[in-house]
Amino acid sequence: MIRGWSEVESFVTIHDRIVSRLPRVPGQGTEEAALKLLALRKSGADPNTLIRMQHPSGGWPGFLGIGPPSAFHTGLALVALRPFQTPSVQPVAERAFGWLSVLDGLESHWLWRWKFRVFDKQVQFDPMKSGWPWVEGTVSWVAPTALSILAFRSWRHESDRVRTAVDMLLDRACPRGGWNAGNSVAFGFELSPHPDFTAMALLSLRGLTQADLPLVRTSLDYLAKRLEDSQSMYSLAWAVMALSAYSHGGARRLRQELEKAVTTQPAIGSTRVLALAALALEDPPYIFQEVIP
Amino acid sequence: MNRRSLLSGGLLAATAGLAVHQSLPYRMPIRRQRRSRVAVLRCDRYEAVADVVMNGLRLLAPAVHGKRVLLKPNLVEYSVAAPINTNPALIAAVVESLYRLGAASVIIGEGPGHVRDTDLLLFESGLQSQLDAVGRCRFVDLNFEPVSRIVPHTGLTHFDEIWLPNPVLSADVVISMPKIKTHHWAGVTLSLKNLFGVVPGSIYGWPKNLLHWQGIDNSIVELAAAIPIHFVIADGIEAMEGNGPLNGSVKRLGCIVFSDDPVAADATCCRLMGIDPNRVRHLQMASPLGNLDSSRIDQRGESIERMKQQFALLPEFVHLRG
Repeated sequence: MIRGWSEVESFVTIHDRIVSRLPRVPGQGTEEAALKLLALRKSGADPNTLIRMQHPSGGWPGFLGIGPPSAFHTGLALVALRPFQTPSVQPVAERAFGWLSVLDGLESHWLWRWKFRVFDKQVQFDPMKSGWPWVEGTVSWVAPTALSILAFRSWRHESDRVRTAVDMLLDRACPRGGWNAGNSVAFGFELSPHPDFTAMALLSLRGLTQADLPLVRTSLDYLAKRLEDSQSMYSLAWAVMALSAYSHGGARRLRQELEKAVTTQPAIGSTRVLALAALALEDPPYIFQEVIP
Repeated sequence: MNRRSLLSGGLLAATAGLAVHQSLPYRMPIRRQRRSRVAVLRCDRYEAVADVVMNGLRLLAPAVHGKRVLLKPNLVEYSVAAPINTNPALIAAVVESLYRLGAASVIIGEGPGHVRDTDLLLFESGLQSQLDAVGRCRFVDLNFEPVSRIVPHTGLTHFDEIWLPNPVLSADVVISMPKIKTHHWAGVTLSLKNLFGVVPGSIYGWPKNLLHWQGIDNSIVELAAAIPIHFVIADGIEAMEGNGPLNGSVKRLGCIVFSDDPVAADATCCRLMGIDPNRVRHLQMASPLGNLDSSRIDQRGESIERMKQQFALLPEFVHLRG
């Protein structure tokens, strides 16, 4: 697609402005460290900060030394470390994949599967299809499953779990497209999709399902429509990346909205949001499936 | 031993284990005052909340002068149709009134349970524009704030530790501001259930599913034992009945409930909803934290009998009717 020079210049300028600001913005959590590392991966970023946050079990918790390791943070950390080919990264990744491989949603256990089939029918999903929970001891949810799939795919790490996790995401999509946090129907009501979870699911499914699958199409259309007047940089950034991954026409409009939000909300100090905006405003936008040299 | 007998044996053992765990005495801190104060003030529309809020706060006079106050509203998801969240106009009115009463600072803290994008929720719910208009009050997203470790003592859950946001733990005064709603798992969601929103998603995920797996009632009471609620302002102008907390219908209760005791506040809200608070499991369990018994509650403002309405309940909760 050919764009005017002023448009290209404008994107580059805003992206560069964020990237130059990012190193100075403080951030304590794993999500912030990982997104910052990704956003600065071409600017000499050091992966060791993120590596030091790894839990001895192999997973990453939300904050260094705080709380249980989480599949969402572990998947994101693995994606963020992928561009770095230093010798220290490989064993760190192996430990992380080891941890992810044994962590499963509770519904994968026969006892809970039986409970969900016989008694617990208020929330409709197929317990035979499981992905990753946020933390150990809970059922599978969309965001940690999507990020874990992205981690396995970006490292080309073979696992049967990916196929089951893809099935789980397809099973739990909202009836009219998009993804809620984890379920589609609860207590007889259709749940509404959320932009960020929808974008994460779509990014993780790219290339694993048919791009013209009605679910993919309606989910992309939902994203483009849902955020067309939004000011939220966080959701806009996720949506721009997902729409761009499928070359959806709505990507350009949302990218303009994101650009506007970045320039009109200079006070936004969240590393997490700034790093996501930087990734979405790359040219072309980052889509979590970079070809590793 | 065949598969069926193994299955039966396993189930029997699990059931017995659960029964033993549920029957074990749990250790609750005793915070019950001799008497608690509750005010039910009529308010039919959100345009009129400013005066009602000021009247309610003057009536019960919470000690906020010179204090750092944290307001914990109920901000879950935005829907055009359903009254899910504590109304932004009420939150703004409370902020203004607290400053007029001499509060040193007022912050609003919430960690939405289903939504990671709190900015989007703030914009769409209208809370952001209300806060911009009020000024001098910032919103903190409790899902992403720095945390400190709490060791739970009740024995109700299996948590060895709970990480909670520093703005909640460091506040001098915590005011729980629930929306008065029915709840499809807990029966009702009021000031105590509202504490689920302080559990940080950045550590436990969205939703805070770990709490559900510990038993929703047990988790509510565990959190209530760990986090003292000093005051309650419950939004009952437009409440929710039926399939709450997200998919119920509007119920115009037409009042705001104020209290210096979260258990008394929730018990009063239940009575206003036509529910017997003694039949709500988590309220019964939380009774050491406050007064459930109406004879220990000094009731001001409107009488419960005058304001009470029968809330529609899901079939599994009809036994809660008062």
